[in-house]
Amino acid sequence: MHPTKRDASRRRFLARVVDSLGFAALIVATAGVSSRAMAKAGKGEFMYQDHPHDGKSCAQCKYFAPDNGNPSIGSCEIVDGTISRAGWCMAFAGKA
Amino acid sequence: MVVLVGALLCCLPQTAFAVPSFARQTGFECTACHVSWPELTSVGRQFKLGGFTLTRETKDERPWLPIHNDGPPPRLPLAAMVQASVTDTRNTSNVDPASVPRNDDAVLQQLSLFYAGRIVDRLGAFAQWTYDGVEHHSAIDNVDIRFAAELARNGVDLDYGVTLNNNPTVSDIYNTTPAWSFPFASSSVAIAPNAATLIDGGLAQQVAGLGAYGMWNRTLYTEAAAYRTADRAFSIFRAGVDKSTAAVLDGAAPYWRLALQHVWAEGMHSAMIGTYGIIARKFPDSLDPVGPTDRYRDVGIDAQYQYVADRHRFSTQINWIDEEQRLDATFAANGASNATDRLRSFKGKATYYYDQKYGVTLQYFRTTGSADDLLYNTGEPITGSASGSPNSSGVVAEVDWLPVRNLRLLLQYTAYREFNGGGNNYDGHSRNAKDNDTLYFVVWLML
Repeated sequence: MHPTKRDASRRRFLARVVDSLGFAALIVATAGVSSRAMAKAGKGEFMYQDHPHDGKSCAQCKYFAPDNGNPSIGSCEIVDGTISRAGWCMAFAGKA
Repeated sequence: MVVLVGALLCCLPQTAFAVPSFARQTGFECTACHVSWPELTSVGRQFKLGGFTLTRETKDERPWLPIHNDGPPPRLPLAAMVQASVTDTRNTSNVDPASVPRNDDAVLQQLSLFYAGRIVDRLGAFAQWTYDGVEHHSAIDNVDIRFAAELARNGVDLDYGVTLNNNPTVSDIYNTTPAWSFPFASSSVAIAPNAATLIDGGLAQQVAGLGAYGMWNRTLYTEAAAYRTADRAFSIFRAGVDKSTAAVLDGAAPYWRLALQHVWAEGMHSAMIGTYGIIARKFPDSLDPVGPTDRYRDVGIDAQYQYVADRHRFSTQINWIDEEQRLDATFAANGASNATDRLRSFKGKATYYYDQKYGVTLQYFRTTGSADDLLYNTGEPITGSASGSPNSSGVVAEVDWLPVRNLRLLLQYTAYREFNGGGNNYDGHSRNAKDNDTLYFVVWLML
């Protein structure tokens, strides 16, 4: 017996559903992994400099966290490495 | 689909940014990455070069779904878009209503769902699924899946990566090339000229391409890719697209991109000049992809300048494409009058934004090429060309207002000087180019 057009259409639909479910499962699985490893930017990527720009500096930026032992430096939620309190980069975002 | 979108819209927060999942992931304001969305700034280009993976560091537990914009980045970078519009074509008297559907009607033009952001480590994606409220049909839209890395050593700074996408130029980081160029929203029911180069949307959501890219010392951008028909294992890249109209390529189509950029004054100014292109062999009948093919060779030259400050923003882009069409298959089948045709298009636009809220854009566009009676002189009113010419030209003027960051109200007027080869009686049925002038109003919401 030859498959009908409806059979072929149903098979295509089921194959697409299986593909979609597999794709969704992959995304959910990788999203779980992604919560454990963050990806920061290098200093050069956002033109980080250790002096202010137009009166704006890292000390005023929402991403900056000062170091407890040495408040003139700190870390950034976006840019990797040691960050100067007086620095600036293109990702600057003022505190609300 | 509508129920799913509705449910998602209800769940998403009511204040958002550009592709809001990117903003929720990074904490960036939309105007950090965009002159005004979707046009990218230097920050936005860097985020794309990084494969959409940059993620704000947090010590808090990350939720699965986007609940708060200012909270920790959600694990699933979901977003949505709604466009509702009205189109008014200047002259619709004595016109078959089927040629100007939904004229002067408010329509739900587009509903889109996005998975846009980091998947894992250095792997990220921009994937869009769109429901067309006019055609009542949903299908895959632009998809760009990226793996990115950076090499910084001995004075060399290289951002590089791999892209798997379904639209030549969707992977590009500038707003000159077709996939991300102005106009960023256009009417789906307006009457449009009948000639466009292949790279200008002719392969979008019909092919799958694998490419490698690199930005050397923030100065030289290169990309090379190969595209093939999105069938078999790649069919998800054209899911929902009508196979009878989708392009079928013979083998792989090479795509290249080269751009020289300069960023100065601590990122306030940026400029770029570049070139790109594709060579593709396409079967004339996508349902019967055997035998001879038509060969298209598109070469583009483009340039861009941006000034980005808090109060004032200005940008300008130009793009010129030269297409050589060797129509071996179509000519042999008596579908074209010439064995070889030429098509050239030019677009140039300038945009100014005040206070990141009020914008105005003016664009000039022009398409010229070989007259080809069998290709363009269909004898049809409105869409035909009595001269058999593909020539069209005109201007687009647009004003934008963003009362809040994720809502855009856009009024756009398209005025034609020439349409399908003529100004007056271009179709041989007494229609003039200016009869197709279009006023278009859109409410565009990102969630």
